[in-house]
Amino acid sequence: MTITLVQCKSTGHPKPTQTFKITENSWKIFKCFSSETPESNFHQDVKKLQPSDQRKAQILFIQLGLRCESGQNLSFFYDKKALHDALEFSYTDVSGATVIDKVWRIRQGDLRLYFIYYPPGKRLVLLNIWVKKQDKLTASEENSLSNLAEKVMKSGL
Amino acid sequence: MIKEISTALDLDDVMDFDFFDFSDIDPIDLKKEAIAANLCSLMAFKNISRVELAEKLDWKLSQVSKVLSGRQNLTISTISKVCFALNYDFQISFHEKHEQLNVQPWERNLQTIVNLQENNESIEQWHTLYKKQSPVEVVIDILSNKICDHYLSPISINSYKKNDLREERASIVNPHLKALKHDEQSNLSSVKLLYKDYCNV
Repeated sequence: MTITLVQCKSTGHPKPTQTFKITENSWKIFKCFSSETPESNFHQDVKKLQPSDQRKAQILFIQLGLRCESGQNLSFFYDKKALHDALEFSYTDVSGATVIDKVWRIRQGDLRLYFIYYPPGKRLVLLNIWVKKQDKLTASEENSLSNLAEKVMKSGL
Repeated sequence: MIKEISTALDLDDVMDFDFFDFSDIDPIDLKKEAIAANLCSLMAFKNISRVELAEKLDWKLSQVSKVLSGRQNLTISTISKVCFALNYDFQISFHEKHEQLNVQPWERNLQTIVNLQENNESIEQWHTLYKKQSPVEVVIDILSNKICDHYLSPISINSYKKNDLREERASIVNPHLKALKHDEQSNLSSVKLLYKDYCNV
C-alpha cells in the first residue's frame, strides 16, 4: 500500500502569501493520500466541510502553521483543553517490536483535527478533521483513526 | 512505502481547492495570531509554562490563555508585560512584504551572513539570510526568472573582507554584485542578502 504525504505550505493568489515561514527548526505539516485507503484522503475531508466550517478550519490551519514555525513543543501554544492525546494506537516497527503511539487532537470550536507525530524529523501528519460537538469518539471513528495512523507509520518503515 | 511530494501542485486532486491558500484572510487577524505565536515561542524558548507566567504576572490562568489565544487585539501594554516577565524586550522591525527575517532568539541557530563575517564591521550590521545553492540551481533560478536580490560567491566575500571586490570575476557569475557594493556605500544597516555558493561556475 502506498501512502503519499504532501507537505502543506501556505499558498495564495496572485502570489503565495508568507503567512508563516518554514525553517529547518519548524514542524513540517503533511497531509496524506492513498488511492487504496479512501479514509486517508485528508484533502477530501476538508473539502466536505460546510463553507462556514471550512472558514474556521482555515483559521485552525493558520494557527497551526504559525505555531509550528519555531519548532517548539506545541504544548506551549495550546492549553490542555485545546491540544491533547485522543487515542492510542500500536504498530510493529522494523525490529519487530510493538510500539504504542498516540493520535493527537486539536480542538477549536466544533472542529477536531487529528494528527500524529511522524519521526524522524519534525513532522506532523494530519489524519482527519471532523465537526463534532463532543470529544468522545465513536468506536468506528476510533477504529478508523487508529487504522489510518498505523498504516501511515507502517508505510514509512 | 511513503512518498513525499514537496509541492501540492504535483497532485491533480488539490488543484481545485487549496485549504492552505490564505490570501483572503484579514491580514490584521493574521498579525494577531502571529504575535500570540511569537509570545508562545518566547515562553517555550525560556521554558516557562502558562502557569508560571500567570504567577509572574499575577494573572489568572484564563487571562494568560486569552492573551495567547491569537484572537485578541493585544495592547502594547499587554505585550510589554509578557515580554518583561520573561526578561525580554521587544521592538518593531519592518521588512518587505514577502521578505523573511530570522531574528527571534529561537532562530539564532539558523545560519546568517553575520556568522560568516565576524571580523567585518560593515557586514556585521546586516541581519540577513543566506542560502547555499549549487551552480545548477543558480542557473535554474536565473532561467526561470527567480533571481535573488544579491549573489555572492565565497571568492567575492573573501575579497570583500580585504576591501578589494573582484568585480571583474564576480560579474561573470554575479551581475548583482555592483548593486551590493552600492548598498554598502549607502550605509544601509539592513540589506537582504542571499548568499549563493556557486564558486565552481
